[in-house]
Amino acid sequence: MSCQTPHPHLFLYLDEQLGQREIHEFELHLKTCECCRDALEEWKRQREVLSKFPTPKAPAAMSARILAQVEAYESEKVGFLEGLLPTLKFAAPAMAVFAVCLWGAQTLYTPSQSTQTKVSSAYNARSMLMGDDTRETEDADTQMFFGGE
Amino acid sequence: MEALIREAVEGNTKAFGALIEAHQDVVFRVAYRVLGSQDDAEEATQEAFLRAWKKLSRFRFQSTFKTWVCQIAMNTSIDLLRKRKRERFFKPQREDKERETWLSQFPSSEPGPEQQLATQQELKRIQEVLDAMKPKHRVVFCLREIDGLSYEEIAETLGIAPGTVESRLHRARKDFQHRLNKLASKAGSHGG
Repeated sequence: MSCQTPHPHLFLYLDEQLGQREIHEFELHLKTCECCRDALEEWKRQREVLSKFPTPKAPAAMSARILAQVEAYESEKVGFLEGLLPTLKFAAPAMAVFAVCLWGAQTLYTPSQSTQTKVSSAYNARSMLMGDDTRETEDADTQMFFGGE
Repeated sequence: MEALIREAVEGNTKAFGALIEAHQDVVFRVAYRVLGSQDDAEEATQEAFLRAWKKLSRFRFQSTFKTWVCQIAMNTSIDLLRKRKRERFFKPQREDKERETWLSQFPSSEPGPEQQLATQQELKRIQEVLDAMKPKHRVVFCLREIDGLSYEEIAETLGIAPGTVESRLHRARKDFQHRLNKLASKAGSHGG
């Protein structure tokens, strides 16, 4: 008996991830399967070559360098906030004046009158397009729409 | 460790320094396995820790600090890898020269110069295959085959389930073997 492709337990066997029973079954399989035997030998050889690659280690001075970066970032952040404070001293009164102006403009502006004007203009435009002269009743209609007397 | 993290969250840079000291090797290893270059791995490690510091208030203790910082390192390294690929398009020589130097510095236990050359060529071929693999396959493969980490250790480092490690490793090995065979047959056809 010989597998066409290596047995699914091959790598688990190599990684010692199989239970006792599965190990026994796979070892029995290995005795009869040339394909798996070759694949196993090939992987053992491959592992030997791969073991020659070094395991990388961080350089000794790296943690100090990172910490210096973190501290620089923190001082930059504090510096930024400190730099923002004088700007806020001028910006806050300016914003207050702007808010008062906005409130004043809003008080002078009457939304109901303005909306009524817009509706009337739209009504006139529609009448002109349709060619009928219903403008005589527009005031009454608008007043009804807005609940006028 | 939890006390150190809490202190670091409160802004204690010294506590964060201790966290860097404890995790820099594993973070550097992940970065190196994604990028395949010492300089780039150093850059990615530094960037990963800086990102971790900025995001530290979002750490919820649902995973270990190691898993969390390694995931940041993985993302940072993938970003850097994309950047390097764009750069390599314009400067292909730099990387090759770096590799040649690195391979020639390899300590060899082989007896004769011919054997040493053969080993170096094999290592070069393997490095070429590793470079061509998908980063997520390469990391799992290298952590297992070169660094010798267990499935559980890989799972904890990368923040994935051990079952995912198993399936990803299986695919990575198949991919590795396939690429290696392809390279060998290509070299054979050129040689013959």
